[in-house]
This record gives sequence, structure tokens and C-alpha cells, in this order.
Amino acid sequence: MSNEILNFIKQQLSLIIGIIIGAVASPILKKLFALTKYFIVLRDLKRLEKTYSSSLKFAKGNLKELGLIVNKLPEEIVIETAYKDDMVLFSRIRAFFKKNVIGKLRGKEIFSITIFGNMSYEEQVAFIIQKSFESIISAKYEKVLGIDFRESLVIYYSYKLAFLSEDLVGKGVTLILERKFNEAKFKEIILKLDSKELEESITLNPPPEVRPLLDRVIMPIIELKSQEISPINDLSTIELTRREMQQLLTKIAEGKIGILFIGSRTPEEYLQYIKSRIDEFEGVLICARGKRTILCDPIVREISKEYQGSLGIETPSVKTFEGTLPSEENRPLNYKYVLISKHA
Amino acid sequence: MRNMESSVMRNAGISLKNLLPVISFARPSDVDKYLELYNIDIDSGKYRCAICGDVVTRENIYAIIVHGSSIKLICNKPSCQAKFSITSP
Repeated sequence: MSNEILNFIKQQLSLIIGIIIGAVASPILKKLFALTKYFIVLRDLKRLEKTYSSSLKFAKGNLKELGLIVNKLPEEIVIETAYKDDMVLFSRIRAFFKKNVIGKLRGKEIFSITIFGNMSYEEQVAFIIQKSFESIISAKYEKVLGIDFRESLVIYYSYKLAFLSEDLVGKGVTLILERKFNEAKFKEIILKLDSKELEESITLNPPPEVRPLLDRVIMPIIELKSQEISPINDLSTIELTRREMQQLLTKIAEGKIGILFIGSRTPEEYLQYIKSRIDEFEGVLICARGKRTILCDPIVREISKEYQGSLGIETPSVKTFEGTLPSEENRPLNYKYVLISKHA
Repeated sequence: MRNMESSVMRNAGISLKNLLPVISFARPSDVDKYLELYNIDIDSGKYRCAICGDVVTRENIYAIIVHGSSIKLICNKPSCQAKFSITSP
């Protein structure tokens, strides 16, 4: 047999083998592609669900005093369908498993929400974060804060969570929330309230723990005021409360109110802290919790005397925010904040 | 509107812990599919926004909330979108 014939036979054989391999491999490749796509769907749906639980975890960790609200919210959500570019993220098996096995076995009451819109995948993630913080902050505080302040707070906490959890949510989500926060009406005030600079400049004594004023003082005050006003439905009282709260937060942000934390020192030492800087501020906010709350009133009396004596103010204004909030250990603890100001 | 507000306030006070929200994001082009799925005859004109009370149509529908036999629709007004919650039905 000549070489030409041998080569021809080899070529034909290779072709036949190629066809056979192709025929076998093509369905395998298709299945591999489908499997990869399925895992992408599962991963992207999971990411949306995880942003909700991360938001609750973030709120529990940073806004400990709001633990009661966070603990009342659904522990998890199920994302049944979402979309990413041209791909619909849906898995019938997963949806069935989540709703019927996980949901019903745990005795959960299921309700379905379908949201229509042309949102990108990143916008859907941002939406879940924002709605989570709305559940914690916005609905609860509508009698204490105006809508713009509530929205600014929601966007700030959403943006902060995204910024700190960029590995989970992705850069695109952080950018969406950053843009929204840039448009927030009370952006500057909230940024100041959360800043270390403000804390260092208005705190009269070394604080018992290092946490931003926004989380440690402002949010608990808002929560206490919300508890106090919750049975009231009179619109003028609600509007007045909103205005007073906004004024208080603005004054704190502007550095016009000094902050004093009651800890383990003597009342005389605290009075000394206040007296040394009494001229710098329009008022002082005294913060105490647990058994130390009993020290508030004697200190307020002494400051009143100081205002009346050396500064010649007849009747200093005193406002108290008091009630029960969870402590770090999640136990209920009495909190008291007293604001004493030179002007009403 | 007042009803929805009081429901939000009420829900903020009670435990929602036993609820499991199942959320679907859908494109506006899928509205008909979901209306059929939940057997909602939107053309009847009897569905009103659970927040503002306006009539909800194919064009202004934003969300469908189904809890047991109760069906609520939300319209796409920015104020209604903002008030709508994913943690309570």
C-alpha cells in the first residue's frame, strides 16, 4: 500500500473519531454550561438574601439599643426570582425547597411580594439593603423624625453597610448607595453626628466605650422619644416633636451641645467637667444608664444653679428622654438622657 | 392611606419574626404573567393602591403583595414606593 493511501485512511479515521468525540462531548458540554449557569443563579439569589441578613446583623452590632426592633423583624427573606442582564435568576427546586421545606418546617407564615421595575442586579441588591434599614428606622420613627431626616438616616446606614461589606455586595452597589446619599437632605448633619471629630470636640469626659455618637447617643434618644410618643396621634404634637428633634440633632452636629457620660466617677468630678467648659456650649446632654441614671437629677440641679448663678439665666430648659432599651448583653436596661440648655 | 400608616405602625410594634417574605423581582413586561398567576383582574378597576388608594392599572403597578387570601397592590408613586415594606404584608 502506498503512503498516500495510508495517509488517506488515517485522515478518515481521525475524522470519524472526531465526529464520535464531538457527538459524545457536545451534550456533556451543554450540561456543564447549564450546571455553571445554575450555580451562578444560586449564587446571585443567595447574595440578595444574604444582604438582608447582613443588614440585620449590622444593625444588631452597631445599633445595639435598637435590638428590640431588629429582633422583631423576619430573620430571613427568600428571593424567588430576580434578574441579571438578560438572565432570569430562578430555580424551581430552590424556590420549592425554601418555601415548603425551610419555611413550613420552621413554622413560618409565608407572604409573597412581587416588585416590578427595570432595576439592574446591583440596584436590586441596593433595594434590599435600603428596605431592610427602612424596616428598622423609617416606619418606627415617623412620629419623631420628618420624612427627609428618616430617609437620610436610612440611606446613610445602607451606604455604610455596603461600604463595609463591599466583598459581599460589590462595588456597584456601594456606588449606587453613595450617589443616593449624596442627594440626601441631611447628609452633612448625619456625617457630623457620626464623626470622630465631633465626638472628640463635644464630649466633656472620656466616654465609657468607643462608638460613634450617632449609634450610641442619637439613635437611642430617637428610640426613647418614639416609645414615649407612640400612643399619641395628635398631628400638631407629632409635628412639634419632629421639629424639636431636628433642632436638637442639628445643634449637636453644630457642636453647640456638650455631651457628658455618667460612669464610675463622683458627681463632683462630673460637675467639674461641665463647669470647665460651660461657656462653650448652649447646653449639656447628660447620658446615663442602669443604676447610674440616679445621678442625673442631682447633676442637673447643680448645673441649673450654675446657669442661674454665674450666667444669670432664670429658668434653664430641661428635657428628659428616659426608658428601657436593650444593653450589649441584650438585657433590658434603663437609659436616661437629660438635656439642660440655657435657652428653651 | 391612614389605614396603611396605622398598619405600618402596628407592624412596627408586633413581632414579624414568624413571617417569611418571599420576594420576586420582575420586569414591567412580566406584569401580565404575574397578574394571571395571582388571578388578578386588574381591568375590573377595583384594585386600589394599599397606600394612597388610587386605582392601580397595568401601567402604574409597582408591587403585588399576597398574604394568604389577601392581595394588595401598590402603585408606582414615589411616596408609595418609599412607604412600601418588604418585612410586613
